[in-house]
Amino acid sequence: MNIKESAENLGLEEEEYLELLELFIDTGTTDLADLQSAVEKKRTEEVACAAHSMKGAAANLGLTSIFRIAKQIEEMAHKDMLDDALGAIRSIKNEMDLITNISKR
Amino acid sequence: MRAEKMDAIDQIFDCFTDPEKERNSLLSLVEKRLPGVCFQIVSNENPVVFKGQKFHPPLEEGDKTAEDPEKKNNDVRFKLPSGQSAYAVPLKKFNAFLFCEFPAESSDIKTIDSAMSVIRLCIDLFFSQKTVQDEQAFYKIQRKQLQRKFHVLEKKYQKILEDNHRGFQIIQKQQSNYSRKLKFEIARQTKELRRANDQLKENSNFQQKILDNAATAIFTVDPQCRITEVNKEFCSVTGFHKLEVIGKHCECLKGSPCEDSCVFRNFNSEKKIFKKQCEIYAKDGRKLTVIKNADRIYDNSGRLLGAVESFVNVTELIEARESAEAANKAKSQFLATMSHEIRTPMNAVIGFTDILLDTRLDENQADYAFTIKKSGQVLLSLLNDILDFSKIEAGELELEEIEFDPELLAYDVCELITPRIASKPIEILCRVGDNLPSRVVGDSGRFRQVLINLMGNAAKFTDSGEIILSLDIRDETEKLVKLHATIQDTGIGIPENRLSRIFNAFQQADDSTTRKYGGTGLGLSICKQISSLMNGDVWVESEVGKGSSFHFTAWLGKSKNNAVRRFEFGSMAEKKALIVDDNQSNLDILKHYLSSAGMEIKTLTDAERVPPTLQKSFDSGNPFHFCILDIRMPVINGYELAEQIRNPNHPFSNIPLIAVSSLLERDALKCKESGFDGLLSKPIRREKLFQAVRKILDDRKSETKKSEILDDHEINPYSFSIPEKLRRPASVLLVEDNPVNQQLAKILLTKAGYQIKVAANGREAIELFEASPGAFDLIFMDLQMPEMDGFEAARSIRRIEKKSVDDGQPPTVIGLPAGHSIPIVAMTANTMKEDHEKCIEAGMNDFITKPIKRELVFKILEKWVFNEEESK
Repeated sequence: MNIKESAENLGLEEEEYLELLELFIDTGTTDLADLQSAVEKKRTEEVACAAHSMKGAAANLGLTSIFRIAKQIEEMAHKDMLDDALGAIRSIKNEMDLITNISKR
Repeated sequence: MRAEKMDAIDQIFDCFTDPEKERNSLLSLVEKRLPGVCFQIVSNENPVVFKGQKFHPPLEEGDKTAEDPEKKNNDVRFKLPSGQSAYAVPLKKFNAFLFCEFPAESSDIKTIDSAMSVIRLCIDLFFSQKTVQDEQAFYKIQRKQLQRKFHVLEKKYQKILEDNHRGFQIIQKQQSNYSRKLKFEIARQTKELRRANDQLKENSNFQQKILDNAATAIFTVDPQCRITEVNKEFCSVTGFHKLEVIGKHCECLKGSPCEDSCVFRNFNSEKKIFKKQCEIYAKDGRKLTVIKNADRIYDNSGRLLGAVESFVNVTELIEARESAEAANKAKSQFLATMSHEIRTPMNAVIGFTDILLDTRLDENQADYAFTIKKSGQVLLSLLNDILDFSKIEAGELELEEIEFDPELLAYDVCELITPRIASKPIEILCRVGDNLPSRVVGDSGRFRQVLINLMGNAAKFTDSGEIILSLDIRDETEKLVKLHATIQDTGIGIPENRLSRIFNAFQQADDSTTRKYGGTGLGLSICKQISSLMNGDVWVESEVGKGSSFHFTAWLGKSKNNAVRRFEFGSMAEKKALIVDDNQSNLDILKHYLSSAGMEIKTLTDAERVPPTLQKSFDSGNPFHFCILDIRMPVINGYELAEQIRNPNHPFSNIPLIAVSSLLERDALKCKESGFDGLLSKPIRREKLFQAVRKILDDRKSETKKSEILDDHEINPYSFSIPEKLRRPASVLLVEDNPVNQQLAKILLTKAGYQIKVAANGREAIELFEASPGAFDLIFMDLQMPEMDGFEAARSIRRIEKKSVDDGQPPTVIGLPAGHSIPIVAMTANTMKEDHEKCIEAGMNDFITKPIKRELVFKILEKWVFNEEESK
């Protein structure tokens, strides 16, 4: 993942982009926890909402893998098939850890 | 006496000082007793020859004498060569020997022994006598000494006696002096006291006269609040006799304990006189309202002696004032109602006159109708003034709290005033301080009214020259800013002795002014009142014949978006520009603005010097990047100057030129023909100026574009005249719950110069919109949000808009046409067609899909904000 390129794509300075990433991780962590508890309680509507929000933010920042996984989760929720959702959430977590590492460098 | 003493001393020392004499007296003593014996005394130290023969005491004997102290006194007997017996008797005291030579015939031992006994007795006698004599002499000396001492003491005693006597005499003299002085002093002081006493009596008499004469009731109390003195007025106000109240507690006047009106309890400042309005009761039970002054009295050592209180009966005055105020208020109320009622038909008169003027009229009729219209307008403005004035008088004027842009307002006012000076050679300029906040909160309408009034005045009383409106920040607190506007004209000025009265209602500097210039004289009074409602002030400095400076200050609220306006200077820094205008003030203002962008500015007032200046800078290899030329200049005007510069013989003939012209005189076509690249109207807005300069510089930078422009030179003179809405930065309301997206949009839009406000959900968005419907130019609406989603929010906003149109409520913000509907653009991550349809159904205008792309956002803004007219 190239920070500079992603920033340029958005028309932002590198620093501004990093600031957004940080914000994304901050809010994403709590969102993810919410998502997880919603999945565990099988509240599909909540799951769809949370995944949608995350999907939008990820798309805006060009974080394609998170965007894709969030989209999958949203679709799962719409189909009321949450069996694989927890695995997907873990993948998002991994992705976020990766971003954290990159942005800290 | 001294001689006597000397004799005595001689006598005393005679026997001691002369051992010879003593020896002789011893010799004569023994010789007398024993006539046949021959005697001689020989000293030990100096042995002498005895009877022609050297006497040597036999060594043996001598040694014995020396060795045996017992024998020392013993006589030594020896035989002389003649056979005669001789004896040596030691004389210890003389350290000598007495030699005795007995005659030859008396060799009988017995005789000699008895003779020796006689000799020894004689010697003892002699020495005893001598001892007695010594003792006598000693005592004699003692006596003499004692006598001397006594004498000395006697003399001393005499002296002490004398001294004592003298001292006594001195003391006596001093005592008598003191007593004389004392008597004198006592007499003097007594006299003085008597005089002071007289004076006091007089004073007290005088004071009593003052007290009794005062038209104010006065009384004094002791520290226990007991009345100690009252004056006549006190008695006549309260109806009490002096003797009835003296000694009583002062609460007898109140009927109840004095709480906050007691000078002893409520007086903490030592400096001010205690002042209080309170109510008291007269003897007959009437309730009186009085205004009292009170002060505590202390003696020199600071001990509280009591207090003096004075009061004036204002019962009737207050009643009178209240009724007067009520009457005045009723009058104002009446005026307000009346002028309001008159306004309605007046509007009809003016409106129908307008319609009448549109019909076919002959010249006279048109003239009459126009006069009707003009008079109607004058009457209407008069009515408005009266309405304002009576509203203020009646205390009904309430200030609104609206966020507005003071810079925009100042320019608006200038533009509004411009038509009023149409026929006069006056420049209207506007100078905005660098630190003026871009938004403030306050009653923009009233703020504008004051500026219009002052600017209108300036326009009215100025025949030529310039009118400069300056606006700057003067002071600042945590929540407020103090703005200071100065309206400086080159008009007729106001004489100093009239300066104070021009702010009074219905007053102008001079009655003749009214005849010549018209007006009600209410305008400045209204300005003053509005400014004081805004905790500011209006004042004037003026010099007859030179002009006036009106000042207006007001405290306004700080907007959350309080930042000083930031402009994008882009490529402007370090560029060189030449500004030409015959008006120095305008040059100063433009120079200041452009210098703040980091440009190097040269100004010229003389158009003739422009081509040489350009040539010189071109020759020096550091040419100007562009010129700003005023159109209206003496000798050579802007058009002519531009044509001169564009002469293809000049190496600088392609320098970009920007024309500056007053609003009324702007002629875009003529500008284009004369070779100008851009046109700005006076007063020049900072934002427009920077935009124009940036565009000129950017066009120049990109060479390809430039050649295109040069080829078919088609300038759009209005390219720099920004639509009304863009005079302030476009403001966007972003409705979005995700903080990441919020932040991203914020950064993108702020960077592009938009103002952005964020609502986290539909409900917040509606609240923000409802609070100030005109504050936003566009809404970006996320669809999925907690609490209230985007569809519902959009529907609500449309309902609010429709309702306000139905109610016939005027738009809250100037420039917002009735029935206007704010563009709402959906932001959605879904690309499904039914979603789009749902958006349009909910009353939204457009949509963009996430991820948010910068270009897309700007395209949408362009479409819905910049080219609003086209899109409709």
